[in-house]
Amino acid sequence: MKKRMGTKLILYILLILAALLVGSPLLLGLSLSLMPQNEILAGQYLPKTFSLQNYLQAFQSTQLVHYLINSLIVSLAVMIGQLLLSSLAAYAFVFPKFRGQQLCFYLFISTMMIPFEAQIIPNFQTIRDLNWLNTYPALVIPFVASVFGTFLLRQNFKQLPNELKEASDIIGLSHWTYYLKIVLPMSKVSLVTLGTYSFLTTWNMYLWPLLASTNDAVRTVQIGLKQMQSQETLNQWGVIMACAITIAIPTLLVLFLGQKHLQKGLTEGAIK
Amino acid sequence: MTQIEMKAVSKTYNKKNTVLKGIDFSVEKGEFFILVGPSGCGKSTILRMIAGLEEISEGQLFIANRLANDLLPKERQISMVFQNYALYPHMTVKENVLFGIGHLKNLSKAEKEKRLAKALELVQLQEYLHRKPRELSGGQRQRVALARAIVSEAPICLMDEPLSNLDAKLRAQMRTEIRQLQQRLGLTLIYVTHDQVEAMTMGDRIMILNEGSVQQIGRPIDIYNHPANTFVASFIGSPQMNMIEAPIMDNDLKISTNASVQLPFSPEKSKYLVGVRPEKLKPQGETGDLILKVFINTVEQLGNETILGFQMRDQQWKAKWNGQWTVQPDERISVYLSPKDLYYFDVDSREQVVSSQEQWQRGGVTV
Ligand SMILES: Nc1ncnc2c1ncn2[C@@H]1O[C@H](COP(=O)(O)OP(=O)(O)OP(=O)(O)O)[C@@H](O)[C@H]1O
Ligand SMILES: [Mg+2]
Repeated sequence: MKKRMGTKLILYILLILAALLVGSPLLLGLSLSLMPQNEILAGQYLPKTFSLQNYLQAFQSTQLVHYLINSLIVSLAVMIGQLLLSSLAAYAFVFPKFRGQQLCFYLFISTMMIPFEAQIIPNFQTIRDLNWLNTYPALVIPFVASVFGTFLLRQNFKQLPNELKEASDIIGLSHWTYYLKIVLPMSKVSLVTLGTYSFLTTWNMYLWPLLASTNDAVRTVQIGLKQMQSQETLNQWGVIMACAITIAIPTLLVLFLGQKHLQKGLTEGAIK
Repeated sequence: MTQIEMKAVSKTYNKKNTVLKGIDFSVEKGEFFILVGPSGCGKSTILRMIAGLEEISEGQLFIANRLANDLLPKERQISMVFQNYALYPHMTVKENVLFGIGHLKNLSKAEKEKRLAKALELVQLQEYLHRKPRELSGGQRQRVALARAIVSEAPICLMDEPLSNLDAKLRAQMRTEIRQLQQRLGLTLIYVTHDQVEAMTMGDRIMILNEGSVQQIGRPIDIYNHPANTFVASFIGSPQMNMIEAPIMDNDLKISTNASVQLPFSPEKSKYLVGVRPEKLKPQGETGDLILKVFINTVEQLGNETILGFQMRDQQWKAKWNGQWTVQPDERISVYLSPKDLYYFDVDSREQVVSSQEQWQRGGVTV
């Protein structure tokens, strides 16, 4: 028993050290964002005097709020689009039985093998020809159909007991009702997972928003932050760190909220 | 009027695995029809074909005299209790039960509530209205499944072992309730069960299946008294019918070293399988009875009856005697049986052999 406690202690110490190491840039950023400008330049790691000056400045004299709203719009739109289209596509791959269903699915899934980098140029040309540059659709539409999401949800839908569909067939439920009333509520866990995942990936996306936006109109936070760094506030590290910390908050919120819903055992009680 | 009819129906899964062959039967409107058979013999498959959940590989299905092979499940006007319940886990008991009739526009809200209350009362789950399935015990879930089927009051109801998970007392109550409900609403009910008592007491007729083919169809008591073959004879009745192979010697059938019977028909083979029900092996005999002197090897005291086991050559036989009998294992006792209680089966075809006179008396037994 004693020995076990010992190993446990060592394990925890190692884990804490590893966590500190991985989290150190973030912690340093947080610390810098709370320091006055002169302390940063003095090369300190921890603030002597706490000040929220950097945050105030970030919100007042930069485009941060504008970028945040853009990011929020784009990420939410992609998230909703992915949830809707993936769940509909996954439904079609599971519930109506038709000839060639398997083949369709494998064709569909094989597009996962085309890397994103290979799609960028054709996508960019399409967006440009549609005159969508610097608009929200340019940032949203290319991402609303998700093969990964469809795959994830299909696996989940396949696990719903077959008899549930059969029971609803006897009653005469339409596919639409079955999808809304049974499939979606029973797949809450996977939907939350996919939603969280797609929100976070879109929020953190860099390359595509950089290409698709040439001015501030629809620019997202990640690009905005990079712009700030290379432009006017070059030496105002405190402000940049304040911005960086601020834009991490929504992602943390989404993670926490998502996690709360990720409980298991939602299908329990359906069958024997 | 015939409500459901299957004509030469076969079912083959994945084009190679034949599980049902040449199924022929019909169910009258308002009839309580029971399907029994060992596990895996195809009972659920038959129900699922009637419900339209499983394709019919060969043959025809008629519902209300209309060819139904290609009708959608919802066009068949049925309700069904699934063997594994198939409840919706995210809905409460109330929502689950109402699910079957929630979308019916021609039912008023009050009527729905009334039916819900009645169904829940029947399955004794009134207090569980707002529970989710995972907060219920197995037997309670099964009763929700039952309530969901009966609330729809569809003219045809299919039940796949609907009482299998209930305790003896509740099961007995439910049996009566289901029977009464079926009669009150005039439902055509097809009921799958493993339970001897359910098979014997609930239905108007029974169909016995084995390995994907029909063994016998008939009224429970007829099947008990006149089993068509050895399978039916040993499947219906508990403990099962005793059987032994007996050779013919000097025109008599020699059951044991000192017990022979005269055959009621003219033998065509040199040996027959002879069977006798345990309750027909009596502690006292009448004149003309055969006497078997046997060593008892097991004694089961059930309180109201005693079941005695003994060896007859290579077969274990059982005798069921009323009341409590104190018999010690290894004790040598006499059991009596009258020749009229014997059944004879062909050793090869396993069909029951009956004298032509007897066949005439029964007026053509349905096989
Ligand atoms: N989807 C399927 N694919 C292939 N074989 C199947 C399928 N469903 C059932 N079977 C086979 O068909 C046979 C009959 O199955 P069925 O479920 O009708 O049996 P059952 O009589 O209801 O048995 P139980 O009393 O155990 O419920 C079994 O041998 C089973 O293995
Ligand atoms: Mg079954």
